[in-house]
Amino acid sequence: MAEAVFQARGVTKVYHTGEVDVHALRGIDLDLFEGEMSVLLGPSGSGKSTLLNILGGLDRATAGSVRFRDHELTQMAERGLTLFRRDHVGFVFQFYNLIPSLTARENVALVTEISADPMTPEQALGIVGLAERMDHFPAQLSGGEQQRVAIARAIAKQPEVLLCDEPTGALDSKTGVRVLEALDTVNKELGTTTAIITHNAGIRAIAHRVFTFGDGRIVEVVVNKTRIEPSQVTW
Amino acid sequence: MKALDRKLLRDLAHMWAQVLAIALVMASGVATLILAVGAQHSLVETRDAYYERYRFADVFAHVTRAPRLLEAQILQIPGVAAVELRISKFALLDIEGFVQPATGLVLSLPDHRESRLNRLYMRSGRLPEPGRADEVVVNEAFAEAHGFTVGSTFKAILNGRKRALTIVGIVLSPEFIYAIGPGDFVPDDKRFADMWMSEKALAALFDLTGAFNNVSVKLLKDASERGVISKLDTLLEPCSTAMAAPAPMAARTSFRMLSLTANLSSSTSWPASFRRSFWPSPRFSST
Repeated sequence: MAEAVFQARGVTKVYHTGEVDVHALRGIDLDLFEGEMSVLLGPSGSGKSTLLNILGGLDRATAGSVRFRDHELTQMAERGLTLFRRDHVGFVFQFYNLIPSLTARENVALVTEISADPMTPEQALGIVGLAERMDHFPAQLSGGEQQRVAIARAIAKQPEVLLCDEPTGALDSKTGVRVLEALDTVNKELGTTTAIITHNAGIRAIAHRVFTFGDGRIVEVVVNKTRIEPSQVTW
Repeated sequence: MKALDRKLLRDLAHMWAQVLAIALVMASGVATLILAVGAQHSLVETRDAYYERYRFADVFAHVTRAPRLLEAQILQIPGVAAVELRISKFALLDIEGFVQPATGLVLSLPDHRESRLNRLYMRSGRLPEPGRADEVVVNEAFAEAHGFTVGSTFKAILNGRKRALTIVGIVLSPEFIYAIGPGDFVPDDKRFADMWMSEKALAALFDLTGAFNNVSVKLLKDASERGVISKLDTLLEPCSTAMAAPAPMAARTSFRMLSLTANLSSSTSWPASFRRSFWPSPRFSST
């Protein structure tokens, strides 16, 4: 069995809003295994994004333990979390956050210029199928293409983990499939451990492992014995 | 070139109109600052040149009455370059058609030589004839405030006697940039005059023949002002009512000096808020 890259145990997260405490996570136990693609499924407000932010070092758990290999993230200071994000984690969000005045290649170069051991922007864009469009500005690209540029930017520094929060949320089925294909390619070719948040149940079949969330808890963990190709996904 | 540098250049090119506007605003601010500082320096240099040319004294002292024999002793104080002994008296003025009370400061002018210090700049007319108790020169601001010209007359009560005075000259003085009356805070050119009269005539009017009640001193370069003031105070102590003081405290140039200081402050702080500095008219620069 593959080694667990992330191990979360008893993770809770409480937001204090005035006199009301909002429990976003209520004791989560979760393992993400090396090289696997995991899908975090569930309705809005079920705690998926909160957990992903904690795994990625963007947020802190109220209680519980989160380990990344030998590192305990809950014990890290802010600087340690910054280094962890910089060295090990790639993020893809629902909205692409590309810089409009830079081409696709230059958007990716923003990361490669400050990374320790990056691939070239051309390689990263080639993996997501945008080799022919790398000199186009974001405004000249479709939504799916922009999201693939965002994925290329996330993987260009060769992170061990790729965390994707609703990467197809703003896309239609056809372009969403192209984005899933890009993520699948990254997972297969680079072996990057990938976690994808979605509330789209159709996507679950492309993952090795599916975590279903409900009301701040994981209500079901399913290991897919057989996976389908992203091109077979419809919604 | 790095991607961030490219972004900067492209964003600047994209927002060229805003960038140009910001640059123009900043250039205006810098230009205002340069103009203000330049004008400040120019005013200060002009003032200093004016003071130098017209021998504005460095130290002033007022006494009740002292013999002119002290002049030699004052000259012997280390650091003293020149001394001028004067008579300085206040007078009530009676100006036709002007109902408010007016006062004037009357100062003596040497009869047979040019003043060593605090020389006058003649705007028009001439100096009073030696010994003439009915001739005066007045400061320009007072003359303008009342519409006086050379030949105009007014009356003044000098040592209890009302006398008709004829204006024979209109002058500017480095000593009295602003004419501020005793007890006033701001200049009032209609109610206060600076006047100069023959020393012999003024001495006779105030029974000060062979005496003086005002001394001004020009210092040598690098002389100790404190040291000279201290020795002058000691010398004049038997006949003094007030201690000697350096020029800015003694003369009514202080109002103008304060104004210049305020201008310097304005020129360095106000451009940030794009305020245009206001400059008082440099009246003395016309000399």
